[in-house]
Amino acid sequence: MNISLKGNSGCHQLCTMWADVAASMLYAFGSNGRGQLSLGHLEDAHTPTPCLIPSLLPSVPPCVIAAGGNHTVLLFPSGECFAAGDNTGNQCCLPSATFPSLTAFHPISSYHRWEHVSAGWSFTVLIDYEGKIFVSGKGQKGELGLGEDRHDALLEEIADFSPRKVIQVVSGMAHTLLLTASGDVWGWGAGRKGQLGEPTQSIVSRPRKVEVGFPVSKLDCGKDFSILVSRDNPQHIAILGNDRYRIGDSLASWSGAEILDIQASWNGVYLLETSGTINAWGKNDKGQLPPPSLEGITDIAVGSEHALAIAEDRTTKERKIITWGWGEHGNCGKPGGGDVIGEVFSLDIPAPRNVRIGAGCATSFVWVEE
Amino acid sequence: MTDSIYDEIEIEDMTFDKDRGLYTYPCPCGDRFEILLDDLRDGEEIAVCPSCSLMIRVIFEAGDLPRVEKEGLKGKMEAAVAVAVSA
Ligand SMILES: [Zn+2]
Repeated sequence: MNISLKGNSGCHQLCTMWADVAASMLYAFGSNGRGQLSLGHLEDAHTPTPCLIPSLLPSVPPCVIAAGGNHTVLLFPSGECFAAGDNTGNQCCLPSATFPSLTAFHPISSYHRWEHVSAGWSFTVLIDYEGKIFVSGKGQKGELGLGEDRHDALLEEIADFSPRKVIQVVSGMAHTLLLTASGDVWGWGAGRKGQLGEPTQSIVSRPRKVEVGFPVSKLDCGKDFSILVSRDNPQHIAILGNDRYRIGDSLASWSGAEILDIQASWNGVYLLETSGTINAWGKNDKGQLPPPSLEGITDIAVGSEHALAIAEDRTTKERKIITWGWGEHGNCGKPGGGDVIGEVFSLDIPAPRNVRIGAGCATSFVWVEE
Repeated sequence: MTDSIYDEIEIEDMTFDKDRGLYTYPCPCGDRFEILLDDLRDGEEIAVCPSCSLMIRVIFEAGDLPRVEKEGLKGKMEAAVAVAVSA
């Protein structure tokens, strides 16, 4: 899952917004078997725990928290990127022989200024300010986009591919989508379920245009499906690939309200409307879909089978960070761990104006200005 | 039992580790569901995750499993390993 904070907004403007630097804190909780929470160890954390942060980590909010299967990548407005977690396949963009796993965030190649990043199960996609697209990691289903028989790479450029002005990159378990400023979509990786459009190919080993039928404004990848929102108004939404939970049927009866953000879990779709409500469809055996009464939501971060959101009280303007869904690894932040079903759990972290949230495979991240 | 089945996954979507004779598939916790080829041959169809309570049901045709070509001394596993699977 790739959590693009603040929708598609680029990183540049955040830079200038954040002139006077206050103290900041990054918390993480959940699954940590490979050090993906950057806590300095390999134990799960059941409540929000301060991350181990290298001194050169910017104190401004990250613009993307991208969480793969067992690794996490942070992108900052400065173009700096940091990764933690499993690096046995070079997915943290460092040589695995030297760094098989990173239990604290480590900088990714300082030779580049990165503009976009996404993380899949065991790979990372990075795009620099020159528009060059790089991949790092491993995968048997074309995840690297480097061509047939290419199953691993250490920060390698996808040559002969330069779509004009990429504005977003997202990855699911084994596929990746690029969105361009003109509303075109490119993709590569696993395509057996049709998540990369027609013709269905089990492995799409090089980037290809994904025919959606309309110019796209927002998109995300589920485990083995893609969700795409049109640019025209009223917006419509298409799902490509595995639709076991009949999300497409539900979308057909969706009211068409204005969409602030759309994110996919492994088996669900979450629409944040500008009205502050969430519409969600998909797998719901562990409380993955939020209670219908939620309102005042300003941000969502959707993980594999759980989610975080920032909720603002209409009258008091008081903000809190809430979680719900599958929480077996403590990723819902409830002391003692466990699922949050049919309700939400409020984290015991103050939520000031400047707060960012992220979620991955049973992992949760909260960045706050303190 | 069906309650605890997280998903049903076609064997074509799983990864086969020839060295270990093991089929795996990503679990939403970050670890992987696992089931031995031998267990599939024995009719077992539930793959478990070593790190959490979730399980998946593997969808497969027994006849499509990679066949044991040569049985060594006690090397059933090793033989299975040698058989390449078309992913
Ligand atoms: Zn698991």
